[in-house]
Amino acid sequence: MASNIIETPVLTGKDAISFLNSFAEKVTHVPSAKERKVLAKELKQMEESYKVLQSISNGAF
Amino acid sequence: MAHFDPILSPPVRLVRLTQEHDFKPFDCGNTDLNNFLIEDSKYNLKYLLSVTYVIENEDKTIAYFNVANDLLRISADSHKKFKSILRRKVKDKYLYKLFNYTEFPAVKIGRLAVNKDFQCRGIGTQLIKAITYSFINNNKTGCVFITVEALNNPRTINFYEKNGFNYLIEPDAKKESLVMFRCLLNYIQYPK
Repeated sequence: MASNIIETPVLTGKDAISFLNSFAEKVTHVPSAKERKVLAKELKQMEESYKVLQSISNGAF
Repeated sequence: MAHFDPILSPPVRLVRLTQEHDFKPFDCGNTDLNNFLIEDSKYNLKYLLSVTYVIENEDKTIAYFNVANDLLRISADSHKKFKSILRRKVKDKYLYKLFNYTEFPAVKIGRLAVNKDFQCRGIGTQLIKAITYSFINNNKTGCVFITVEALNNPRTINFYEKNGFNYLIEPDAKKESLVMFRCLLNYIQYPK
């Protein structure tokens, strides 16, 4: 048997603060025009990868 | 246009694992990942623990990945302690509502592996991108984060970092695997 998939731990102490900090920064950050372009490009690449998998999945993905 | 390995085109197919699935030979170079596919993936499917997708051609399993619902939880104590700092950081009331939650829905990539014969061709990265997109745009429930159980070795950690994942908890060299996460909110438009 393989090892179990490990559970995601409940965040406490420094880990919780670090997580909440980075999450807060993420949602309050207003991307610049340049950053928006990068994000749009990344999203486009993700969409293309998704379509590639869809094309070989016969509706399974 | 991104570069796609031509291997991911017909007659190669992606299938959602079923109990009847007949596995084709697979070796990714890691015994635990090999064993999970052959020995555990159907058990997990049977008991609705997780779902495995397999990419294969006529002769071999090229890659597989396994996904399950997950939850990112912050302990009530830590949340309470940090709330006043958060209130100063997140001034917008609309956005601040997010931080009333101590739990966030997520999806976990429990296992992702590529056959040795097909490694170093960008297939793993392409899978991560496709999985991420599916949970941004085609999600049937809610999902703010993607988590992953990453083997604790430089190659794997580097792979996930390159694909936008960060450590969820402080890395521990003694652990065989680590949980990493990626936030999906980067890719949505939200009111500021």
